[in-house]
Amino acid sequence: MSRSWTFGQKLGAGFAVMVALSGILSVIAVNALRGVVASHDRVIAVNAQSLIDCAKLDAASEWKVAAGRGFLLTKEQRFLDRMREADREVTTLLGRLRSHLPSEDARKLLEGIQRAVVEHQTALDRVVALRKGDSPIEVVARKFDEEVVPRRNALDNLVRDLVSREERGLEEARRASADTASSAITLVITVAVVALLFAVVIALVLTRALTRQIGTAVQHVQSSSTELQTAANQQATGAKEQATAMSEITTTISELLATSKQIAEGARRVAHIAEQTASGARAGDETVARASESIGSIKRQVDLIVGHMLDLGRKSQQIGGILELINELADQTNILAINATIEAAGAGEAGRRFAVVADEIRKLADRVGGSTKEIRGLIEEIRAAVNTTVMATEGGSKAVDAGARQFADVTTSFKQIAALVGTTTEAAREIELSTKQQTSAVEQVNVAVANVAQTTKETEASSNQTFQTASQLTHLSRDLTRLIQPTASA
Amino acid sequence: MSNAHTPSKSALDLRQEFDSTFQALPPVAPVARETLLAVRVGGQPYAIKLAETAGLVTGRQIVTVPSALPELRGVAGIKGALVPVYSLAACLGHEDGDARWLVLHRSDEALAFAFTEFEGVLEVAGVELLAPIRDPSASGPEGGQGASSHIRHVLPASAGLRSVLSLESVARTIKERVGALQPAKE
Repeated sequence: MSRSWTFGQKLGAGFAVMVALSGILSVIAVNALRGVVASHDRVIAVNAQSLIDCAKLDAASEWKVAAGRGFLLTKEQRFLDRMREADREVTTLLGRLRSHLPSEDARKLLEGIQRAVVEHQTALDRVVALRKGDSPIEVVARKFDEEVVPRRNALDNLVRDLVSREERGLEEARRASADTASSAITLVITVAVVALLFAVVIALVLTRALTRQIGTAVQHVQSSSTELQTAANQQATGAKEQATAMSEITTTISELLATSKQIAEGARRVAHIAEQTASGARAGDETVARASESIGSIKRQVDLIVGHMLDLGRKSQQIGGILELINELADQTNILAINATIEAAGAGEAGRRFAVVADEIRKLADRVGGSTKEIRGLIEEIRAAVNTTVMATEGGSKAVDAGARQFADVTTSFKQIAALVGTTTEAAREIELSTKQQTSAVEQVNVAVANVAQTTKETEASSNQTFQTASQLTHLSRDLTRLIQPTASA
Repeated sequence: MSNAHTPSKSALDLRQEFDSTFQALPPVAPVARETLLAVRVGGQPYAIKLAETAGLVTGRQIVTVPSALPELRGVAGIKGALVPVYSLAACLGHEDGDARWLVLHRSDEALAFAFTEFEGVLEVAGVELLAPIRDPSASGPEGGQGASSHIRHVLPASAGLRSVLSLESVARTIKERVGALQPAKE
């Protein structure tokens, strides 16, 4: 959680805690001081006043006794007036003390004093009356000693008890006030010490956290500046390489420019040659047409040859049929000759000459059969040759047909070539135009590349500046590290 | 120069003629010649002595008649007479084929044999006919001795040996079989 706090947030939180502690300390101190003041006020306003009133009561009582004695001695009225005045003072003081001392024992003690005052005043009034009645002084003195002095002593005792009680009360109040003050001082000191310790702890935590945070940030800055330094170095190197590449590109573009001009010249030549080719293709088309007519005439001649050959084949078949007839006749002659030989043999000596003739006929028939076999062989050879010739001629006819078709294809191809050559001419002109446009574009590219080369040089200078700035940033981060961590090695 | 050579060449011819008189065989007496009919039966070459035949015909219709002999093809009209025709291939133990040639046996009883193909007439000297080599294991498929029992000679030829049949032997065998069948009919 604390890692996500910012530097200002941490400082603000520390100061806020310190202000809160100071406020708490101030409130506690004010309350303690107020308690002490209240205690002292109570001591002064209640206990001390009561003690003063008690002292005044004692003095007024003494004053009243002295005024009575003065009258008894002098019988002067002024002593009686003074005694009456002292008595009223005593009554007033008793009333004030009764209002200031609300405790039960104080009330009882004041009531006793009130009764003792009344009894003493009554006894004193009686003695005064005796004096006024002209009674002898001795009687008056004796009466005074018998009635007034004991009551006076009793009153004095009671007043002394009251005074001592009030003195004790004053002492207790003073002691309680002192205890309150010391408790307040102790509380304030304790809270101050706690606040001081807390402040020290907060200061230490803040110092440590901020040192760590700033140290981390400084380390980050240092590493980043180092990386920036490396990147700037690489950028400078890259800018140098880019400048070299731009130089090469400029050279290449110059060559490309020259090549584009050559291409434009070549395209112009191609267009010229294509026009010549188109005229040649038209001439070739006419030549092919004439050749096609010649091929047609050849095809007709070949068809004629095929017809003659087929006639020859049919004639040879007819010859074969006639030859079969001759062969059959020869076979029958042979059989007849054989049978004649057999018959001649059966005729004995008379048929010997006939046997010779029959044998000659048989031999003649054999030779005819042999000749017909030879002729049949020749006829078969002729038929085979005719068949071969017909097949070859038909093959030639087919070849001529194929040649005619191929000439038709050639004619079509020549037309296509003429059309394509026309297209080529158009394309070559478009290439020429495009190449001229390309040349102007390449010139613009050359200018742009020169600008890029200039920019690359500026980038190189900027990269060097960045490198120097990164170096300064590295030094600054090391100084800052030394500031927050003096013991750290730079 | 050519005149100088002519006498020597004539002398060389004379010398060769003189030498050839000693190299030539001595003249022999006229030998008896035999006329044979070259036929093909069941694909095998055979020869029939012309002296054993009474005629050779072809293209005659053969009318089939019922018979106990499987060799009998039927009867045919030859020279104005009904002649029984037997299959020469069946008689020799070969497979019977389309026999359109008929050869008449020279005997008192008219008898014809049918065969497949007539190849021609052969005239050979008697010395060219050799005695056949009898093979005891070469017996016919029908229990008889087959073709070998009817072969009297063999004739050497360029394509191999040609057997010379004895039609007399074949006719005698048929007559014996016909004679053997007649008592069974009675």
